[in-house]
Amino acid sequence: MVRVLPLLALLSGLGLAVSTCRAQVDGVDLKAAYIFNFAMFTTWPDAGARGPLVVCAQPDGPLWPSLQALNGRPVNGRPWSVTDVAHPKAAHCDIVVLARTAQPPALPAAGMLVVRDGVVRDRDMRVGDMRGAAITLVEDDEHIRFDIDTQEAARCGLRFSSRLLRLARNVL
Amino acid sequence: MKTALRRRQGELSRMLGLGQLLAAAAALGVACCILLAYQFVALRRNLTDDLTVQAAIIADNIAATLMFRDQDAAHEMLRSFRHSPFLAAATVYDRHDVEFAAYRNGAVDATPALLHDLPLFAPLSVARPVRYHGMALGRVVLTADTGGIRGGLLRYGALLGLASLGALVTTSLLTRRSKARMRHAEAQLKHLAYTDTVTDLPNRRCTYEALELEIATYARTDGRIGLLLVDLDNFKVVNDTAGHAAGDRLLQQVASRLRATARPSDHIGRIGGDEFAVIVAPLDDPAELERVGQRIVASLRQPLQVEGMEVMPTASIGACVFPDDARTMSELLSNADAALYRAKANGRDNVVLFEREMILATQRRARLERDLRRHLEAGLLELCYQPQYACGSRSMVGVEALLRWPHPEQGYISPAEFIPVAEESGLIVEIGKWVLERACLDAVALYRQTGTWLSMAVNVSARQLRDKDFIGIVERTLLATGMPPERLELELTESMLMEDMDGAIDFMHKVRALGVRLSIDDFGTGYSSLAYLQTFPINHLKIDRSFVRLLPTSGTTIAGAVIALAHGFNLTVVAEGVEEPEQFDWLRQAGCDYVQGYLFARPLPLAALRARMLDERAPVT
Repeated sequence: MVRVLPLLALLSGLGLAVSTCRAQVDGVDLKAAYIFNFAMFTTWPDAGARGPLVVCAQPDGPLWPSLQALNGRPVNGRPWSVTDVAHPKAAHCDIVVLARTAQPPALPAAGMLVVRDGVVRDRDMRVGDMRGAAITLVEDDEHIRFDIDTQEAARCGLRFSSRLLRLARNVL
Repeated sequence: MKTALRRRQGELSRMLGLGQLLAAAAALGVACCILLAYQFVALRRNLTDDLTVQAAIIADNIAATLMFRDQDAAHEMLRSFRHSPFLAAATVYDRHDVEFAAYRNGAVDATPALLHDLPLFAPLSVARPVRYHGMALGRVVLTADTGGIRGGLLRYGALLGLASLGALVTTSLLTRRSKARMRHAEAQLKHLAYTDTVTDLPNRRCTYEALELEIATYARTDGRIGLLLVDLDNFKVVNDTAGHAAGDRLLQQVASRLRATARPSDHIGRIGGDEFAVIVAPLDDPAELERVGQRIVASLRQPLQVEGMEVMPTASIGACVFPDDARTMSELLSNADAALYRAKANGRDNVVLFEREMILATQRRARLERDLRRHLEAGLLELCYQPQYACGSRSMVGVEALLRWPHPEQGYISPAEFIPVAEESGLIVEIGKWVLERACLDAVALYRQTGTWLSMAVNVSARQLRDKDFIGIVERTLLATGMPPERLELELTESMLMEDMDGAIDFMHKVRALGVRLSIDDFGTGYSSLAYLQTFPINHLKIDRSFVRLLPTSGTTIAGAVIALAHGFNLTVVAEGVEEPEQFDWLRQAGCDYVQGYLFARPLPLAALRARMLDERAPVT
């Protein structure tokens, strides 16, 4: 589904451990890397924070292992730290990764980047489906793309780098 | 031969001009090369800088696309540099040096093959790492075509070439103009160097060169040439009395008369203050030279109007023929000069042809001058004294000091011969000084020995009168010898007073202020102007011996008139050259005051004079 070569290249570009074998690699790693990169181009309201970057996901979701694999990696000086979204500390999530079907938090807290995963190229997807997520990953023609909802981001006090916005498929 | 030389000089000058132009072109060429090299370095540096800036921009902007592996966005971003005039290629490599995105600009001209191999014009490359937040993501490599540098250099080179060409043309024009000006100045200098500015005649140098050329020419053809040296007789008087402007006018008129009189083929030049030369060439008959000279003398004898004054510019001419009288130029000149000397000695206003004996005379003059100088220093000159008597009492009242030169080999030499030599050589100043001192010393000695003061008359030469220090010499001599000023009488001649009227009057007043008396010698022979008798502060007039000699049978009118005139001006009269009792009787009756001459006494040496004084005093005491 997803081309192998870009994935390899992407992983190498991120400085992540990359296997040079041509074995089939799941697209979830690529998505995890995208989410990691989103963090690189995002400014949180509390810019001076030095604590871990708390990434909340569902342990039973497909991205969990790939996200876990990034644990400890620095994002602008903050170590990547994946945690269960149902964990009591989830209220302090910096990034919330939502599965395709999961409901977004009723009212995302300030400083919470909500990334929705897995909307497969969905011609029938409506704008309303994106509600609650600042970034939505989209699989489009064997490419992973993403849409950005700047209003949602603004509500949470987040700012995205213009470089990220330029690469987005849609910016709302 | 001359033309060939001139042509060679012309070629040389052209070559020199071309050489200068080439040198200037070479200098400009070197300057252009240096400027081009500098321009090349500057252009290359600019290109590198621009390329570095663009690489930095790309590296900054490509980071996100590299991270998200968005090659489309990367291509799009790189494509935005398609408007860069020099960017030939931009390539982005990922961290493993695998090409991620690339852009080739086909619009940029590729460097021509000819220049491509040159390292100088090889395409420029700049690489820049792509980083994001300290993370190395890959690198960007930009390649620029050097066509811009080449174009820039070509344009700059063309501009330099045009500027250099303009500079060379300007230099060439300016050089040509300054050369023309220099040639003009040289021609003017040459004209000045060879022309007398007053008369516009060839000057001494030019005349001598012409003479040399003529001698060389006629020596080959056995022909003759004649040289006339023309000396104006009274130029100095005009110059001194009417001023230099009048003198110049006189010279100009004389020059035009010479031109009018001489044959068209003759060369005329001014070779000295009042001296002209006429080169008569060719001269078929030596007698022709004298005829030309006579024509000149006759033409100059006609009065001229100079500054409202009528001047009769008479001339003395010495003539000499080549090769009859002289075989070299210097000989020709000196022989013509000897003839001129004779012409002047003969009373001026005439032409004298050179004769061999004149060389002897010249040589004798030279020898006399040499001996005179030596004998003056050795104290061999002598004074003797011509007593002067009062007509009434017939007693000796004074003496006139006369110079004698007893030459050890040639016996006594006549003053008429050696005085002119002394005047020409300037020795007369020293001699005059010695005579004055000796005469004063002798007068004082005579007084001491006889108890009687005699009036001491001393002749003054024109040369002494021109000496600014002469009045000082008189004053110092009087002081040094103890001679009472009123006993000293200086005898001047009319002609010397006329030479420099103002100077003479000034001198006379100063001398009279000292108490010294003055007399005019040889009165009646020259100008005999009545006006100056009133102007000049003199005490005595001397009647010239030429008038006294005629007395009493003839000449009584002049002698009587002079005596009456002198008395009219309150001057005393001395008659010289009285040899006959009849002459004395007439003079005494006519009222003459003093006489001197052989009738009473011959010139006496000091000892004889003293004896005579003592003798004459004896009956009185």
